[in-house]
Amino acid sequence: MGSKGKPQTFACPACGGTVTIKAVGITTSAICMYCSSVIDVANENYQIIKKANEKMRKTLLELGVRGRLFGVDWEVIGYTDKKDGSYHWDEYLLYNPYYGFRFLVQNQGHWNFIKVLKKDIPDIGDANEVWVNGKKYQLFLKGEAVVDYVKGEFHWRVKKGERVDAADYVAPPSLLSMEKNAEEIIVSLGEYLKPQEVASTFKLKEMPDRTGVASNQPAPYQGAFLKLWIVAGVFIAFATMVQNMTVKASDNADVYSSQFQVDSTDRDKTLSTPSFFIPKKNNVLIQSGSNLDNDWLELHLSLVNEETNKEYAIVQAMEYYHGQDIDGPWAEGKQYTETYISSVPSGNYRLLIDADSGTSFRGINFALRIMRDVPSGLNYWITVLMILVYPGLVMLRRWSFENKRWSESDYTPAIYNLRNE
Amino acid sequence: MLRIFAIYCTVLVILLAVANRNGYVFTSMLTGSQKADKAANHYHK
Amino acid sequence: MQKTTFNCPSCGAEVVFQSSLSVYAVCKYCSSMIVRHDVDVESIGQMAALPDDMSPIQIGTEGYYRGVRFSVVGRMKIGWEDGSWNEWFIVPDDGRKGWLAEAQGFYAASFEMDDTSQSIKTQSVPELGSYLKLNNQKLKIVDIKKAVCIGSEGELPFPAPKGRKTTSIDLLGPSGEFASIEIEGNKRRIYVGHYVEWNDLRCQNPRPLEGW
Repeated sequence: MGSKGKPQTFACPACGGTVTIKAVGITTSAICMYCSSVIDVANENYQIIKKANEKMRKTLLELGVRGRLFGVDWEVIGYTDKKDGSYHWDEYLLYNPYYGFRFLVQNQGHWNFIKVLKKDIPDIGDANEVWVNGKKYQLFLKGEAVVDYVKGEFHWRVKKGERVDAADYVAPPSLLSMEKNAEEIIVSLGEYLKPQEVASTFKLKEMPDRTGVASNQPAPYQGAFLKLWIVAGVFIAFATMVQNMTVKASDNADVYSSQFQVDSTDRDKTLSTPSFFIPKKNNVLIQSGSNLDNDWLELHLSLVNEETNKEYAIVQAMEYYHGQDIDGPWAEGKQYTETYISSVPSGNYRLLIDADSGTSFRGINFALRIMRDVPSGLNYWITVLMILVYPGLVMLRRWSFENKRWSESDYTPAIYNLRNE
Repeated sequence: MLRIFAIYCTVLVILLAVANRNGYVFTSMLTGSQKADKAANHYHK
Repeated sequence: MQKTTFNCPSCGAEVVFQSSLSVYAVCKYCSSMIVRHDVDVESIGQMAALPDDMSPIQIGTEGYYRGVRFSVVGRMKIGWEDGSWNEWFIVPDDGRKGWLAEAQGFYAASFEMDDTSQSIKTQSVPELGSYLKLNNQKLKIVDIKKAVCIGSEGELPFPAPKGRKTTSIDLLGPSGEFASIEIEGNKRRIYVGHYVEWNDLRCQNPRPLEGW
C-alpha cells in the first residue's frame, strides 16, 4: 500500500458523534465518547453492541494523553474500572503502534506497568510458586476481576460485567498476573512504578495516596540489603584483626601485688602501697579479693602519679552472704572484683587505699593485684555491637514491611504469619 | 547509604585501634574516674 | 532470491517476483491477482482494496530474526470472528519460506517446516490446552480459529484471494516459542518460530505513521 498509517474516524451509529480509532486494524470494540454506546469495530460493519446514553466518566489519565515509560512513548487509548467484590482498581490501556500494548494499573495509589507475556506457564493458577525468567514468584492472591466500566477502545470484545478468574504471584518489584476464562488464559508481567514516576511522565498534579503495602512493592533498601551485611561482616573482620593484634602486643604485666590486713583501728586510716613504676601508657587493672563471710568490703582506691600528683580514683565493692534455708544452702555475691583504669600515662605511682567494711569490722584480709596493659574484650564487643546496630535496624524495618505486605494475602509464608492462633 | 555506613564502620574500627593502643577501656570511661566520697554510707540488708 | 519479471496479463505493467518461492502476486497498478506458472502468468481475478490499518510494517520493510536478515515481500490480511491480523510473507537470506504474524500488538516470526517428518496424526482433532511435540519442543495449543482471507498484496507462496478459508492453530512454548498450523482444505502447513519484540526486529524502512 505504501500509504501513511493514520487513525480512523466514523460516525457513531447511535448518536452520530465522531468516533476515532487509534489502533486501526487491531481494535475490536470502541466506546463512543458522547453517548457511551459500545460499538463493534471488528469487521467494518460498526454494529452497536450496547446502546447507551451516558456521559463519559472522568479519569485520572484521559484518553489521548501520552507519556514516556521505559524508553517508549505510550498513548492512553482505553480505560477499564475492574472490581473484585467491592474492591476496585483502574486499568489503562497504553498503545504504541510499533511496540504494541501495555497496561498501566492503579490500585490503592500503587502503580504497575504491565505487559502480556507470550509464554506457556503450565501450573499458573494452581501452584503456590511459579518460575519465570529465572525468578521465583510467590502466590499472593486468588480472586476474580469483573469489568465495571469501560471507555476508549480495546482489542478484545469488552463489556461491562465480563468476568475472569484471577491470580497474582509476586517477586517484588515484579508481579505475575493471570486472568482466565473458558476460552483463554492470559499471563502478564508487571513492574512496580513509583507514583512520582507516573506523575512526572503524565504531568499529573494530583495523585491518589498510597494505602498499605502493595503486593509487589519493593521493600526499603531492596538490593542493598545483602551488601549491607557484607560490609558489616568485612568491618567486623577488621575489628577482630585489630583486637587480635592488640592482644598479641599486650604486656599483660604485673605491677604490684600484696596482702593487707585491716582491723577496727584501721577504719579511717589510708593505706598506701610502696612506689611502683609503669613504663608505658596503657590501662591498669586492679584485682581485689577477700575472705568475706556474710560481710561486705568497700575499697576506695586512688592511683596517684608521684610526679604530677594526678589521681585516678575508683571504688570497688565486694560482698558475700551465705546460709541455709528450707531449700538448702544458698550464697549471694562475690568475694572478688576487678576494675580497669583507662589510659594511665607512664611514671611512678603509688596506690592509696581506704577500706570500709560491714558492721562486724572484726578484721578482714584482702589481696590486691595491680596489672597493666591487660587486653579487654569490652572495646571489641562494643565496636561489634555498634557495627551491627544499623543493619539490625534495617532488618527490623524490612521485616515489618514484609509483614505489612503479606498481611493482605491469604497465602502468607509462615515466617510472616504473626496472627495469634 | 552504603558508603556512609562504610565510613561509619571505618571510624569505629579506627576508634577501637586507638583506644586499644592507648589503653582506654570504654566501660570504665563511662563510669568515670569520679572522686570517691570517703564519707559515703553503705547500707546493706 | 531469484528475481523474475513478467507483464501483467490485464494491464501490461511490470510484475516482479522477488523470490523464487512466490507463486502469486497482486499487480501494483490494476490489483489483478496473478498466478505464476513455469514460463508464464495468468490472472485469476481482481483483488479488492485492503482495509486500512496502523501497521508499522510494509512491503519493502527489512528486519532481523535471530541474526538472519529478511525482507517483507507480501501480505495477507486474515479475518476471524473477533477481528483481523496481518501475515507478512518474509524471505530471509537463507531462502526459507517464512511469515511474520502481526496480531494484537504482538509479532511472531516462523518458518515452514516439513510436515512429513512429524508424528502428528493426520486424523487427530487438535484440542485447546493440549500439548503437541513440534521440532523437538512441547508446545501448547492456545488458539484455534476459523479464519478467512480479507485480502492480499505483494507476492505470496500460494494464491490468497479474498474468501480463502483456513483453520489457524496457534501454539505456545515456555520460552516464547511459537508455532502455527494452517489447514486449508486437506492441506496442512506447519510453521515454527518465536514471538519477537519490535526492538529485536530492528526494522528498516518501516511504514510511516501519522503522529508517531
